[in-house]
Parts: sequence; structure tokens; C-alpha cells
Amino acid sequence: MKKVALVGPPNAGKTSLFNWLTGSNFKTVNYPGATVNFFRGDALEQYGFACEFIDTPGVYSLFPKSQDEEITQKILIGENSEVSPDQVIVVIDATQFERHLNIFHQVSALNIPTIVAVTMLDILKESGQSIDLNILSKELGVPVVGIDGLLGGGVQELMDSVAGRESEKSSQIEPEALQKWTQEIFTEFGLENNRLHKLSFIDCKSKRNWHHLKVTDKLDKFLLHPIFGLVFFVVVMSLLFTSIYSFSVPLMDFVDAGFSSLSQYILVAGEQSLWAQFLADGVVTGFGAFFIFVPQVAILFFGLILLEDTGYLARATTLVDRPLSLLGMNGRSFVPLLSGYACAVPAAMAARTITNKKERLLTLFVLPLMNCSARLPVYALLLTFFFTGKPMWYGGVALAAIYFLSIIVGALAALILRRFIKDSGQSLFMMELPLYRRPRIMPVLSQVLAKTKFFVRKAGPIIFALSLVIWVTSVFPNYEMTDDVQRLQSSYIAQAGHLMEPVFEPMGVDWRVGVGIISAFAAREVFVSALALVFNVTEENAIGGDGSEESVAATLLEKMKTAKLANGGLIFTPATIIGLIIFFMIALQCLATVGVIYQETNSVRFTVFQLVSFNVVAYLLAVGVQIFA
Amino acid sequence: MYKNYEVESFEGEEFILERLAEFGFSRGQSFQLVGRSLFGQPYIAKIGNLKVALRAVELESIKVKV
Ligand SMILES: Nc1nc2c(ncn2[C@@H]2O[C@H](COP(=O)(O)OP(=O)(O)OP(=O)(O)O)[C@@H](O)[C@H]2O)c(=O)[nH]1
Ligand SMILES: [Mg+2]
Repeated sequence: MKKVALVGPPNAGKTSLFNWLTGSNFKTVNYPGATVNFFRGDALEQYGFACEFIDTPGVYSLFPKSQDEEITQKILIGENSEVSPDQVIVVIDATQFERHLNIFHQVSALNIPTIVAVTMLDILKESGQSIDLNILSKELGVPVVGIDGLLGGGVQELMDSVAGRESEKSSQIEPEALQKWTQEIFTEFGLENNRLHKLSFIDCKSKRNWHHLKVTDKLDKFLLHPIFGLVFFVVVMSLLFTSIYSFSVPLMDFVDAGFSSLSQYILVAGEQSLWAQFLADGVVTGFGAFFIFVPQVAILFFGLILLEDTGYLARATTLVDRPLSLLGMNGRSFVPLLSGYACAVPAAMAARTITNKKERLLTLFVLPLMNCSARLPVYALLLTFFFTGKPMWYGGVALAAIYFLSIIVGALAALILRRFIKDSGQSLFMMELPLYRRPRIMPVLSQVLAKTKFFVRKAGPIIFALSLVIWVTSVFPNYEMTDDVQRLQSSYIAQAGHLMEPVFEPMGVDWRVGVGIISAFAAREVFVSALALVFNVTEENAIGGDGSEESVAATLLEKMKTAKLANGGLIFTPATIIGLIIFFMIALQCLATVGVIYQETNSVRFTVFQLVSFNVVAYLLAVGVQIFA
Repeated sequence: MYKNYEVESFEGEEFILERLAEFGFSRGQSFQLVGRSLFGQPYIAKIGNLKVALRAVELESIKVKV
């Protein structure tokens, strides 16, 4: 089957077109660098021609400056035969025409049959300008098709051109040759270039100023203002965070209730047999442990995509470039770091747009220190315990302080590590600021869905598998025992807890909290349910007896108040609680994160160093709090 | 209302120059500086109907006619 790559500058409308062609509706956002990976999809049958499309990260030229751009270059030079294109559709934004033609000239120098798709014609029209596509086609010597990226106009015509165009590549290009070629092209079309301006296909009779640009200029005066811009930035980010945590509550309750009633149902239907327990407490609860985060992650995606779609995110990135570069990072680190507050897994992939290797590594290094949503239930439990009997807002303020502290810790980590990573040349910012646009809700929602699905597929399996491991080790070897608590206390995981008790002791906790900490390697929030289990809080014996989640939590809090160490001292003293909070802030427990960091850095050394150093520092600090107290 | 600058030449790291070219900066091209971000950087430049944010070092690789 013919393979057709969509190539073009960032934000030109490649992904929108890809979605029209393939119906996969992946994601399109008004942020340069939104696509950081390539996606493949088959043409919809309705177009009457079967071929495969490849959506690529945006590039300004064939000189890649970052990893995402490298992906496009590699596809174009056919490095991976599976996605080596037989044809290229160069997608060009009509409002940036002269500039965007660069990439067309470079691509056509590669001798791959090319078609030009021109997008954003609607914006051009609104400003009273037009392009004669026929003249353009003659000038360029290739088919040119106008595309309406919003409504899908012109897509059939484009498909007909694809079907009609011959697809033999005239020659195979060697990477070294490409380097030389592109250098030549660069001098021809690059800085010395005046040639493009002589092209005659743009009708600029109307001197009317760009409506969109005018609006954009007005907004930018305010949004990029050193003071107002900062205030607006803080307000937007606070809103984003508040909505992540408040809007997600009903959804999370819903997910939680769904999974627990399913698990109850299975237990009853299966008459508490081992298999029923495996299904209910292992499989279903394992799914639940993961799906509980999905609402928060989805809401974060929603917020980010909304901000991207309006064009604001590129401004936010610009605003924080200076502060972040003082820490050895880049304005482009902002999107990954922000995403890290929901989940580090998709966040790590977003770091691909950072050009400089050192800045990228630093970003990946501090990323897991951003308080991901899995930590929230742990903080909630510990803070509620800490502030028992105090007004509610104490906990809220403390939580805000934890979040703030995590930024400081991240900054410190960056400052320390930057001394140890060797310099990798000049850092680059150079960010295109797209025109502001009104976001469109349906596309935004479909992107949220697609991104969330991607997240589920990426992080879900690891968390699920680990939850199963935790279940098995907490039930075996004495799986026949009917008393859950006894069974747990003699289980492998309890044995591990006992074995490691000397390690946990300096933190001021016993093997039971140790079991909680070990279980948190499945997902941090499992700490809470594991603790409930080891402290013998079950739905049956919970105070109030209705088995509701609140009563389980309340009972757990009661038990925590009186829980004693072997030497008779209380376990949960203020020092222990603070130590645990600090531990959870810093420890890198999430193996899904470790996996994705390895994938993104391709460095065992970096990954292991991060894993070990975070956990050792977290542990030492928790121990330090005990000693200090 | 903003001052127009005209590009005279370029001087600096190659990959900065490449990206400048990609943004449409070329000899004789005019552009404007329309703002600055927090702490004085990056600068916001407008070239044609494109807005870009450039750090000081990046901007300094463009030599303008005086
Ligand atoms: N007005 C208008 N907007 C469009 C058109 N085509 C795409 N857009 C919008 O332009 C923005 C960028 O579109 P994308 O399809 O994400 O661009 P891309 O080329 O994939 O961008 P990167 O992945 O960053 O390289 C989105 O907000 C789209 O909705 C069009 O023809 N007209
Ligand atoms: Mg894209």
C-alpha cells in the first residue's frame, strides 16, 4: 500500500488534515510542537483509494533541532523502511506562505513525489487576501490543493491527487548526502533568500490589516506584559489546578464506587472463593487503582489542550523561559513539568520538544518531583490525621504548601544536577507565537479522549500488573485462611515488611507501614488501601458499619491514633507523619514513570541514578525528621 | 508605532541562524520588536505576520542597519 507522509511546519494543520483523511481524530492543537511522535492511519474508505498516511511532528526545515523534528527527518530519508514514504504531502499555512515554502523546496529536493496542501485559507480570506492555487501549482510544478482544516473541504480532491500521482522515488538518499544537500539548499533558500518574495501567486491588493493579527497584538500586549501577564499566568494556572482537583472529585467517586460494587458483586457471586477474590480484589481492584487517576489526568489534558488551542500556551512558555533557564531548563520545559502534576508518564514524552539535551535531561530528572495526582490520596490521609480536630482549611493550606514545596525541591534538584550533566551546546528557545484562536470544544474533547486513551494504554498495564503482584503476595502462601488479617499477617508481603523492618524503623514506623510503602510501588495511592488492610480495617468492621469509604477512612484514622510500635511508642507521631509526607514527595516509586524515563533517555545510568537518588534522599530526609524530632 | 529594523547580516551559532532563516529572517527583511517577557527576556519580534519569541542571544545574531 502506498505510504504518504504529511510534512510541514509546526501548527500548519497536518494533524487536522490527517484526522480528516483517516478519521482517527487524534489531536490537533494550536501549539508549535504538539505532535511529538509520528502516527499512522489508513485512508477512510469513502475516498475510494487505499493508502496509509503518516502524521509527522512539525519541522521548519530538514535541519532537525530537537528529537521530535529528528523523527520527521528520519521518516523523510527513509531510515525506517516501514514508514518510508512513497509520497509526501507538504502542508503549508496560507498565512505564512513565503516562509513555509522553504520546507517544500527542501522536501522536493529529496526526489519524493510531492503534493502541496494549503491550509488556513479561511483566515487569509477573512483578511481580504487570496491565493491563486493554479498559478502556484504551475510555479511549483506540483499539484496544489486547498484544504479547509476545520470543515474538511478539499480532502477528496487531495485524495484524487494522491491516487493520480506517480510514486516511484527517483533516487534513494543517503543521510550524509542529505546533510550536504540541505546545506546547499539552505544557502539557496535560507538567509540569502529573496527569491521567494518574487513569487506572484499571492494577491495582496488589499492592504487591510490582518484581523486575527490585530486581535493577537492587542491580547499580547496584556498577556505578555511583565506584570499583568504574570498575574494572568498565575490566575490561569491556579484555575487549572483547582479544576483538576475539584471537578475530578465526583468522577473519581463514580469510578471508585463502580469498581468497588463490581468487586463486591464478584465476591458475593463467587462465594468468596480464591478465584472470586483474585478477580475482585486482584483484577478489579487493580483496574480501579489505575482508573481512579483517569479523571484527573483527563481534566489536566482538557485544560492543557484548551490553553494550547487558544494559542496561550506558547505565551506561557515564553513567560517562564527566563526563570526556567536560570535553573538550567528551558521555557519548553514548562508543558512537561505542568503535565507532571497529573502524571509523569505523558509528561516525559512532552519533553521531546526541548532542543538542548542537557535541558531535556534536567527536565526529565525533576519531572517526577512534581506532585502527581497519585500522591493526593496519601497526602489527604496523612494531613487529615495530622490536623484531626482542627478546622478544615488547615489541611488545605498544608496541601498548597506541599505543592509549593515541590516546586522548590524540583528547582533545587535541577540546580544540583546541572553541575553533573555535561553541557550539550547552545540552548535554543526561538518559539513561534501562533495567532490567538477561539478554541472549538468538539475537537478539544476528541483530543482529550485520544490523549487519555494513550495514557491508559501506556501507564495502565504496569500499574495493573503491579497491583496483581501486590495482591498475590498479600494472599499467599496461606491463601486458605479465612481470616483476612491473619492471612495478610503471614503473607509474603508481610514477611517482606518484617524482613525490611530494620530499614523502616529509623523512619519511626513498623513493618505495617513498611508494607504500605512497598505496596505504593504499584501506585502511590495504594498506600492508603494497603494501610487499611494491615491495620485490620475492613468494610465489615468499619465504624458505623455501613462499609462506606468514609467510614473505612474514619476507622483507619482511629486505628492510626493508637497504633503502637513494638517498643510501645506511638507510630504516627507528628514527626512520622511529616517524615512520610516528605518521603512521598520525593521518592520515585512509580515504575511506570521509571519505564518511560528510560524510554525517553535511553540511558540505564540516568534512569537508575534517578531511581536510586530520589529514593535514598527521600528516605534519608524522613529519617532525618525522626532524628531531629 | 514600533520601530522597524532592517536585517543587515547575521552572526552567531549556525543552528540559531538556521532557525532564524526558517522564521523568515533574511537580508534586507524588516521586523519589529513589540515586547519583552518577564525579566526582560525573551523578546517578542514580529516579522511579516509572524510573531516569534527570541532570547537576547538569539536576537543578537541579527545585525540590523542603523
Ligand atoms: N482556521 C483554520 N484553522 C485550522 C485549519 N487547519 C488547522 N487549523 C487549526 O490549527 C491548529 C493547528 O493544527 P494542527 O493540525 O494541530 O497542526 P500540526 O501541523 O499538526 O501542528 P504540530 O503537530 O504542532 O506540528 C489547530 O488549532 C487547528 O484546529 C484551517 O484550515 N483553518
Ligand atoms: Mg500535529
